[in-house]
Amino acid sequence: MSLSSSPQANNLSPEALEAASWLRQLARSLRMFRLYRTSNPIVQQAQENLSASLMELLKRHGNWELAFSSSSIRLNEELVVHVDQRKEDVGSEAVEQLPFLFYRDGMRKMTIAAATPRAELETLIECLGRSSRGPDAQDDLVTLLWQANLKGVRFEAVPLEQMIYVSSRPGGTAGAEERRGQVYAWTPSGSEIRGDLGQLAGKQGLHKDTFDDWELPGRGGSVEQAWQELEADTTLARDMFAFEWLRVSERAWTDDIGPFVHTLLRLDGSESMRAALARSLGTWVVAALQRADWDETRRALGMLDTVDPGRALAAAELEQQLDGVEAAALAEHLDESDADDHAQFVSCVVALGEVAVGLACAVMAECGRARSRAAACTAICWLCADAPGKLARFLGDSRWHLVRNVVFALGHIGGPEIAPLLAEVARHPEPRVRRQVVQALGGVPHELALPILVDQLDTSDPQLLAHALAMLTREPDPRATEAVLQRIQAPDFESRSEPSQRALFAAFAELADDASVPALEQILHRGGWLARRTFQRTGVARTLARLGTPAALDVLENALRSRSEAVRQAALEALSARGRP
Amino acid sequence: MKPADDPHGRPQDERLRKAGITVVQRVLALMRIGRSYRVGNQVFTRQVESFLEAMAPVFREAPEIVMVALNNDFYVNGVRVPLRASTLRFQQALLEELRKRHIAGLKFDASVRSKDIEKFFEFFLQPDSYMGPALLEACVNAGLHSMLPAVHASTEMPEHENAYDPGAFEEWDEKDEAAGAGAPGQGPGATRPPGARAVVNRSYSLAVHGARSVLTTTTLQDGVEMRHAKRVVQPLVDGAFQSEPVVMGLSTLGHHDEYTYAHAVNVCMVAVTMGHALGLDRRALADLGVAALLHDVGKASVYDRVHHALEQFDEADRAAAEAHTVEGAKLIAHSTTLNMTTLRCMRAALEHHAGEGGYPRLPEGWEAGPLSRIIRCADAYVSLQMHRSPAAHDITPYDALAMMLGPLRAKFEPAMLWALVRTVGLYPPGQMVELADGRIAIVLAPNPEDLHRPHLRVVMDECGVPFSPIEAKEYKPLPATMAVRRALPASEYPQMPHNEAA
Repeated sequence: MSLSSSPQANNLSPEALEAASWLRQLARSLRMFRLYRTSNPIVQQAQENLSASLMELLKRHGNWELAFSSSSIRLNEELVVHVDQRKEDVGSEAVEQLPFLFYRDGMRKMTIAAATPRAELETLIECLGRSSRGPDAQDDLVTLLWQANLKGVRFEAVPLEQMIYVSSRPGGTAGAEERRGQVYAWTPSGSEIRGDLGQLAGKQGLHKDTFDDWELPGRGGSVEQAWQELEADTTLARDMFAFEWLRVSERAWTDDIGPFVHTLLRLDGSESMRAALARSLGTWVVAALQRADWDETRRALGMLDTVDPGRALAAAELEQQLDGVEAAALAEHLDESDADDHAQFVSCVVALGEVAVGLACAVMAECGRARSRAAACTAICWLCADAPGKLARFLGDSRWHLVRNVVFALGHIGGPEIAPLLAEVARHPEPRVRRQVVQALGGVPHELALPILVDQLDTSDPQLLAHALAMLTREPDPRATEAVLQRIQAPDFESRSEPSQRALFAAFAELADDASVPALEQILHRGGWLARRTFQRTGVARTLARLGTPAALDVLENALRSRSEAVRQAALEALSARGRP
Repeated sequence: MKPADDPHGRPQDERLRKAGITVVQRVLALMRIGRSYRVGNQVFTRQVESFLEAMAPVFREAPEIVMVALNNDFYVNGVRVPLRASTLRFQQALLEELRKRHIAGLKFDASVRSKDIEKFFEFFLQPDSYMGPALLEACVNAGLHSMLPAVHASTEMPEHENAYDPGAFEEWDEKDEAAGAGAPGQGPGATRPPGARAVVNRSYSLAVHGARSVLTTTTLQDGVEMRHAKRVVQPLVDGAFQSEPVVMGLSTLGHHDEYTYAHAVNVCMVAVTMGHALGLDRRALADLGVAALLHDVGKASVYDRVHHALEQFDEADRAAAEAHTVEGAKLIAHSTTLNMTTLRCMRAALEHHAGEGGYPRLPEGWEAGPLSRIIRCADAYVSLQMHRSPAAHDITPYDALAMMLGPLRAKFEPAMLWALVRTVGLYPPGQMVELADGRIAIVLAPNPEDLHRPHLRVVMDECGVPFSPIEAKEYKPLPATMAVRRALPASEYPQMPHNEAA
């Protein structure tokens, strides 16, 4: 989209151009805010820079009146950000996500007054930063700004829900239309279609407030007199309340969770209460995890374990909630983090247990850097070491790179349990996945790995074939030898690529013994009088030479006397290469 | 999508949001396929069938689906269809199609069938011939009733339906009597003193609507959309900061069901204004407002175990009724994401009856939080005014306040009672008073500058002759030269003729 490339850019006023530039700066910074903690000096510096430059712009140009659509931002009617929705990779530039950030939460207009104090601009930017952090943000942008109550920033937002009246008459011209007298007589319910909206109580119903819960006392006396008495001695009470409130608001809300949970459990220790609390605490775990706040995640998990020690109540819900974590954001954070952060992530995911397998896989799929992928993979290995079958569902993922990484993790886990999983994915259309499968088979008992490896011998990917053959030659086995020989004998062998043919011969040379000599001899002489010089024939001869047993060498010696020129030539070359003319 | 009574279902508005996305996409798909294939073609028919399947879950909960575009947003049954980057293009494309046809949206009846949809699309796919009212006309002519275009959509209530219009007091009486409905819980025919109907402003009606929506989702097992709840209370908090009149005593609403909403919203408004008087900031007030809206949600879990009115409670009734506090906390725990706001809501639900002689008995070392105590006081006051026992039918707002400051005084800390009086004044809104000169007036709002001189409207002269709405004089507030002589007890409330009460 970039503004500079847009046709409008040249026609923009200097104010709009500067605004566009500031918005680009904002978009980049918001991305940074997502990646780093608010205490990070880089974030703080970026916030300061943004507010300082905005203040400067406002001073120079006066009020900003911004209008938002889903794909554009206008400043005083000038188009300062425009996202071309037809673009293939729309959203790839940070600024392209900016209009939607405002629009998504219902923001439609915003006026920033020229005289807005610096502190308010900083708050505005902080609110934008918080709302851009994705689903973990507990408040949307409208609520954040409303709470901030900025005097210099006014905004218009659409409500999340409202009563809407629909009618058969065009808006604003009802009178004129009505005079025609032909349309409305036919409308289904007289002159109006009345959508009685938002009143869908139905069987879902209200909460049933069917009984009184405050007993009626006797009648009171004079309010005026009571007030006189009350007013005189409430100053201290009000001060005490204010002090108490101050104390409460200064305390982290999370400090109250533990005592409150224990209070509730003392009042009602039923399983349904435990289940409700477990669910609630699960949401806390997930929110903390989404923010990459590892300490809080561990605290929340600790509390969850108090309520639901075996996680029997919370597991299903927790797994569902973890599905909602925005893995891309977490991965983005990990990509920009250090080893300590990675270790903390692994520790939290492992503490979450099996339910976090999906999350770990999703993060692994999104990570851009090898280190963060490795962290996710480590977590997966921990989580699935005893039951690798939990990874089965990810092997069907449409993202080949995720499948490859899951296979990588399976390889680390190893053991006979992974064999069926690898077999399932051994025919994946992406060769890189299949290569990984072959490597992962290194950790699988030979008996189980063999058929999967043999399956790979028909591949047209030379690299994959080489990997498979390398694995097969690690542990000589007549079945492997037979399988390779079959490929060499196959009628379509000649149509395989030369590297593949070479690889097969090379492997066969490693695997073969005297038992294979008759078969090789047969191939060597194939074609009789009409035998041509082929790579297959040469390869067989060389294999016999490399085999070097008396039986193999006898075959070559005999071939030197063949009536076929091609056979003689192949044998001669093989023996020459061995140092025997 | 799971039906409403599925205990594991999502909240209703959340379901509507999801359904909204599907409906928008399906309508657009029908439109696009209709361009390539004739209506009636197999391909088109298949799309129609899958469209009907997509709508079925919504029809299980609602008799109709109204999908309208309003200022570039789509709403399905009043719930804004969420915008996602992945669905944005669909929405924009459909918006464009609707604009082309000069219509605001579509309305589907639960009785809609494939043939209706196909018939509709025969017209709809000819935008050059049928647009706006002409499209509607064609549909109606063709006997289509279950699927129709909505030509115009607005958030403005049609004039004749403006039930919350402050100037429409006269309509209320007529409606109430015609419906035979009195104040909630009082049975047909019982009516509140007319003065109990107080000032109703737009914030209030929005809040009632919002509360309805929030509380509708707050059934057992269902979730509460906290972001939504916070948005609902924002106008109320703004009102507190702008010293807007507090609405109280709104006891006569169109539906009995709305008792719940009115109670919740009234408690919310009183609590928020009390909180403001006590110096809480906006964020705290927003949390207080949400907590007040949800303070009684636990009743949903116990209502079917309470078989008698409060005065005739047996042990089982009492135990069940008292359990609503713990159940409320449990319900909120189960249906929300744990954060500061929801923790405060849980506490308020648990603690709003705790304290002197209250319930539940909190474990040693645990005390009700500040917000819970504010809500407790507001809840008590509002409950007294809206009490459903026969003995309460003549309790005026002033009486309720007198009970709070008199017999119930020991139950509340002085700071709370102080804030309550600052909130509702000495003569709470809705109270009828006799002025020093003998005229009768109805209190509209308290005057924080002088609690003895509220904002009021004079409705009768000193001889008891009612003023017409045009003649009725309003004092905002009562000037220093005038005074309130006394608050009228319900027995002395004058009978106001219809169409003149205002």
